[in-house]
Amino acid sequence: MRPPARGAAIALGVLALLGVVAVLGPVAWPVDPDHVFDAPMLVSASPSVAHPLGTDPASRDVLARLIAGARVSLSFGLLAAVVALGLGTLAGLAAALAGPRTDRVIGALIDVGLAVPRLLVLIVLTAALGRLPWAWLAVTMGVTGWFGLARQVRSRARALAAGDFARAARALGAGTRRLALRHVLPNIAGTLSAAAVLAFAHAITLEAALSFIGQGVPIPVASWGGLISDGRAQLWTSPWLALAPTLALVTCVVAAGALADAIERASPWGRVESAP
Amino acid sequence: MSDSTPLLEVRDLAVHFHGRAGVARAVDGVSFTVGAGETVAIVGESGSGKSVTALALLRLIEPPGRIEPGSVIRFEGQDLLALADEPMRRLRGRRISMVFQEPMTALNPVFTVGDQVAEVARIHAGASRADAWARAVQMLAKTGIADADKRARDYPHQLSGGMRQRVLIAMALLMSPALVIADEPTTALDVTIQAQILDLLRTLQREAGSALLLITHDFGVVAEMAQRVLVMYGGQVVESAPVRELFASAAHPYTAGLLRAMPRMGARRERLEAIPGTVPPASAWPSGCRFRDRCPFAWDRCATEAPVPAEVAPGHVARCHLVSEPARRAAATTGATA
Amino acid sequence: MSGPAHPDVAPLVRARDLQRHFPVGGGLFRAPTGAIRAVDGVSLDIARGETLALVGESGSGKTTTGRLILHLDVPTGGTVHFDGTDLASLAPAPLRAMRRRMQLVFQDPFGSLNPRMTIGDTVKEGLLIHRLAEGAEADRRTRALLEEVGLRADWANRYPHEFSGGQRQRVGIARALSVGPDFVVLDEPVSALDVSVQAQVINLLMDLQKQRGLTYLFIAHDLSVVEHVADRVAVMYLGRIVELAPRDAIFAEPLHPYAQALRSAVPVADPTVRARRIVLAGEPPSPADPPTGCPFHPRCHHPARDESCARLVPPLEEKAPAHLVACHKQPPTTITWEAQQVAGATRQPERHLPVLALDARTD
Repeated sequence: MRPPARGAAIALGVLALLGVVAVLGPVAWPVDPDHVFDAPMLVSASPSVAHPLGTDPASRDVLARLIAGARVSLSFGLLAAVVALGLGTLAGLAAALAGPRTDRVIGALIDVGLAVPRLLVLIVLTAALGRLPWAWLAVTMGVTGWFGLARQVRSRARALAAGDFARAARALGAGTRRLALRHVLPNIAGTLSAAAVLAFAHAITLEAALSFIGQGVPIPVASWGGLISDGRAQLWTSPWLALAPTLALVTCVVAAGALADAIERASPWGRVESAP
Repeated sequence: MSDSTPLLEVRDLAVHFHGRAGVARAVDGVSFTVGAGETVAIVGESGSGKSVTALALLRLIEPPGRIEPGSVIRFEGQDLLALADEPMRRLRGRRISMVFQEPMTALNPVFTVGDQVAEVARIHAGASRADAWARAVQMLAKTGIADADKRARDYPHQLSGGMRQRVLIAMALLMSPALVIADEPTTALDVTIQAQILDLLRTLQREAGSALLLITHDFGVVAEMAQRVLVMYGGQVVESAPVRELFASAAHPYTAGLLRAMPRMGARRERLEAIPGTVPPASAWPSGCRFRDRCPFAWDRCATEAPVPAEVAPGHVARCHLVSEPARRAAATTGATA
Repeated sequence: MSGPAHPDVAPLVRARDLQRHFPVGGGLFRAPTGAIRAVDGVSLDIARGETLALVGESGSGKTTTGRLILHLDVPTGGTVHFDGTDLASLAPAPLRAMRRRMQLVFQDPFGSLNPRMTIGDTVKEGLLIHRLAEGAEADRRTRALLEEVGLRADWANRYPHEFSGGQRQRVGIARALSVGPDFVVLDEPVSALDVSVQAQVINLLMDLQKQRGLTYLFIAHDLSVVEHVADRVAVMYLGRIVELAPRDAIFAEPLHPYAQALRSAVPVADPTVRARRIVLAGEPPSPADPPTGCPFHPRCHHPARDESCARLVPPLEEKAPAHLVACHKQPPTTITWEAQQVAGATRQPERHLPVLALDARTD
């Protein structure tokens, strides 16, 4: 394997750090994010030693809410990515390997799915389904976000299935499942992980967008998107309220993008040894 | 330039690839000459260094590859390795040209083949657009492309592999270069097309008076085309001889082994005599003789002392200790034919 | 119809009038306008234990024919009987079970192995699929197979990229042998290999055939290799078999004008002679737009070629014992002179045997 590129290492490090903050943050900063301090001077207070990122208009500790937001946003992104990855992989593999009729049906589904703007679908869905708990919102996000991934899986799987080693497996009597699990999936693992990382970043950003129109993760649960949305009214008086979660979100998404890029570039298998 | 000066003289050519894993000595001390109008074949298997040698002559080695100091390439009396980039560029395609193996990748898919042949005339002869086009069409016709004026307007993908190779040959021979290097020019083609292309190369080469350096792995092609042959193994020339002498009395065990390993029409045997083992990577040649791991006659001297080229007969040189040990050689050759 | 090599014994493989047409033309929004006739009516028998070589140039349909015979690609017409069973009659599960008995070795030693599987797992896969062995027994048999093809058993845990082309080709052969087949389609198994390694692999294939009693369909374009390995040879041109004969007959005296040209084009590895060549006019036509009548007629050098060649599809018929040729200008023929005249014939069939001699090389 080639040594990981420095950019990839940094991106991975940043994401890992965010993960650690989400998991261990409440231990290091054991303040209840929903606790209302109920003191007049703690309404939208500036940063201080007791509240390093200040407090919000409801006099809750912003740092504690940011950490809680990390837990929610990262879990949200992960769950959405897992759902999208699962559905996209399954649909892509089925389209490529299960015969022309399946391919036509799934192909049409993918085309429609990609044609309709996802944000619009989400707005309509959330409006129709009412306020969903965050986990269900994440699942909805995944369900609307697998089409591009499926298309990628389909085209790679099709190429692999037409190749010699897949043909050899068929000649040995391998069925579709073995073909998919042993001969296709391991060879598209790189593409899949890159796509999953992107789906993760996408879900977090989309949730933030939904929060802006009040359709995101329902209050009082804090997500980064929710925090930004809450903070924008005080942008001129208490800028830290929106700034801190924005910074966290942008850092996370940029790192995810860089990681996906690096994964795609550094596919360690299947490359031809450079013969002099 | 006196008559005794060869057209091309290569001395101690070394091309090494400096990678993370170490140095790969792909070409390592290659010396040979090509006379004006002569056809010389470099024959070898993959990893022998034959293609890298060809690219080095045109100075087309890309990093991490490097032509090592001490290498000499003299062409028409000029030291090519001392030449600046600009005069070297002007030399390529005009005095030395190259025909590649894969005619699809060697042509630019977005220009017509006529444009690509005409381009050569515009670069090197400063021809006007119309002149260059006319010359291109004329040259395409000479390569046996029917309706050349129409075909010239085709894009590479519209032509068959054989036609594309004709286009490459037209490009290579348009300027009547003194030397044409052809790297496996027929390997990608079907056998009936191969015969046509070899005939064409021979005819055009004679017409232009060019010398031909033919890189190939196919002894059939060698026998048909070459006057002199260099056999490469492990980045070195292990044997060089006039073609008839090489086929009649190969002195190097590798050459002899290759000739016996090859199935030949009309000379069917129950079993082919394979050479055991595989070519080692260029970063790990064995000590001493590079062929000794696979050689049936190797003895301790072969591991400790690298053989140097030794004359077997006038014009016939082999890089093998057997040449200087007549007793062993006699035993080896009778053993091999028995 | 192709006669079996040994008429008294049923052939292991019997293909009749195999066709594979691929739709072509049209585009993104248009329906297909025609078909590539990749394989267009191929009939052949392969006897147990023999090597039938399938020879042709690119586009001749030889690779597709190999896949059709294994039912890895479904024919658009015709039948394949393997050991008496019509492969088209089998449901997917019995067909997969049947695959144990017929295997395939590929040309490209790089693309034919899964880069994410160790060579041991690759060789073992067939054993597991057909439940021939499990656990330690499967490992033991995998090691034995690796040794049988000349690889070291302790290499089983290595990945394909650690091996040379010749070694990978051996892995591909071990994979094919793992399930104990009777019949193996060898699709250009040595074309990508260097001469010294090619000889090793040819010897290995011939040894294995002897030891295991294998039947081979050997697909190749290199006639020197074919002459070395084959018992019988079928020459394909544009999706059809134009000549099918025992090896010695076809190499000594090819009768089809295309087979003659092909035979004469092989470079001779002897610098003192030059082969007398039959130079074919033009390039092979596209299988999407094949010539009418005899597919070879536009490039044919037979002196009796005439109008009838563009109108009649010559049947593959016996010209000498077991020597089948598709050319009605090469006597004897079942297409009567009257029938030929109706099709516009002006020249009587005559034996055309261009001298495939070698001349002394003068330059």
